[in-house]
Amino acid sequence: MIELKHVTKSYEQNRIALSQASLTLAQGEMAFLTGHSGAGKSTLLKLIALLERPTQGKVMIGGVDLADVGKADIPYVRRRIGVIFQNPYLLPDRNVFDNVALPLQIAGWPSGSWLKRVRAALEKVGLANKEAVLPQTLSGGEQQRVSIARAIVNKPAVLLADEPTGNLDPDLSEEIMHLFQDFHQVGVTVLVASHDLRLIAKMKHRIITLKEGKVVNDGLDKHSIT
Amino acid sequence: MKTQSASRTLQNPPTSTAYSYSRLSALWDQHRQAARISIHRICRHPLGSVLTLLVIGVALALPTLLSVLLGNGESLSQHWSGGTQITVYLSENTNAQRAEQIMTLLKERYQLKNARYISPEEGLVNFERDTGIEHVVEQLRKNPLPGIIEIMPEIADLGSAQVQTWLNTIRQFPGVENVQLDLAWVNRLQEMARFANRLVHALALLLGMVVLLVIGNTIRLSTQNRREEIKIAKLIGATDAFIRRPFLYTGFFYGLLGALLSWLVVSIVILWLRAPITQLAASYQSVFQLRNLSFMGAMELLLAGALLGFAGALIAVNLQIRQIEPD
Repeated sequence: MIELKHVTKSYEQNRIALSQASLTLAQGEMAFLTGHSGAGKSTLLKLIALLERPTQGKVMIGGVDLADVGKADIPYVRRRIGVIFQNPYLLPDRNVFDNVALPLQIAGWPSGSWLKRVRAALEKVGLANKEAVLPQTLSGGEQQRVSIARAIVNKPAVLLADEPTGNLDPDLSEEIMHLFQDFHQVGVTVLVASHDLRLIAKMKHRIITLKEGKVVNDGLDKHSIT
Repeated sequence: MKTQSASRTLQNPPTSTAYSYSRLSALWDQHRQAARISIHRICRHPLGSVLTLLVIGVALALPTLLSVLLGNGESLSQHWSGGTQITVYLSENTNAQRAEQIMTLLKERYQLKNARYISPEEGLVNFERDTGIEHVVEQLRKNPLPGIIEIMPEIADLGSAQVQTWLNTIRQFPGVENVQLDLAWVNRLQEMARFANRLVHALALLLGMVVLLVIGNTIRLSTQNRREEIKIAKLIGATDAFIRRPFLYTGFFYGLLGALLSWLVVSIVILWLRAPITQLAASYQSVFQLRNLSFMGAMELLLAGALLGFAGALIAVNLQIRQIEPD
């Protein structure tokens, strides 16, 4: 589903974020991306979400070379990818329901179809009773769950998360990771960047380790369950 | 071509729902939402919105008011020049019989609305009545007034070359002393009207720019305040058109409401001026009444306001939207 072939990304002043990185994620696979800060985790995810373009190499999603996706087509690719960040990035002036419905609105779903899908997404993250409240009245963990509901409401094929538990305490973090596992179990390809090694070791999935922009360890044999 | 297939493969087509849902109704849905969002935004900051509307309203009211007054002036001057007559002065020895002949000739040759012979005696009576000076003849011993024929041509524009030719021809008639058409003041009035017209246009252009800039700046600030929201929307697959839409509606509504406000302002001012102008006209034995902006004129004003608002928003949002990218 996701394929990186010899991807290099360098920024100005010759700072190299990724260097000849290659990896393949099968459809429905779940993997963790780890490494020290600055190892290139975020850059890798950004390349997949088309937030950055590689300097060299190829990034492919579902058989489509992202180099062929023009600027005008980027939105349509992003609609198939759910992205979650450390910061939930919710709209403070809209309630939980409207925040979660945003991707549906953007993709042009009829407003009549929102209710069912938003409710289903909120139920999945355990916030079914919070749809009418504003985000700032929620706890950090709840806000992150709203952002996950927003990421999955459109039923994306790929879910990317960049340090989704960075602001959360260990119990909440584990809860969030289990949520990702649930989506993986219904066939979504999940890639989670996290430096919380203790937590991701517990999850027993493939672990890809980056160091200075290179893939130094791909724990496919040790942890993969599929 | 490749790009298209890329987006098609990855697109999540809304057609897969149980709803029978066409692209057109999807667009309608999105426009309705965008309009609702923009009204919501305008209403959420009432003070700022009202101030913006006042600026737009006043800026539009000024050229509108001037053009309404000008329109009134033009209708008045048309009324006056329509009443202008050509006066044919007959020579002293032209008797009533010859005068009748000349009048018949004029009627045959030209298309006249009206022609009237005023004999020297009749002229004197009129003179005495109009001025209140009686028994002038007794003092002068001789009636000094010539016989005149007043004619009113069908043709409306008395300044035309055609009328000028008539005057020259009539002047050559035997028994005619002189022909007079006081065009100077009509010309002057028309020149002034032309000047005022240009002034109104220049003013409308300048103040239209003001509206464009005011709305453009308002929308620019609004996009700045919504940087995060725009980034988030782009991140989850919003097209530029989607992001632009509520801002364009906001500009459109600002323009439309501002124009509505200026219509109100103009109507109030006209109403306020009406009474003194009617009285002024009455002192000239005229029944002139100041007219307000016509319905069509008001529609044009609203359209102009809405278009200016839309254009201002479009320029501002296009300049901003490219700079705001998720990071």
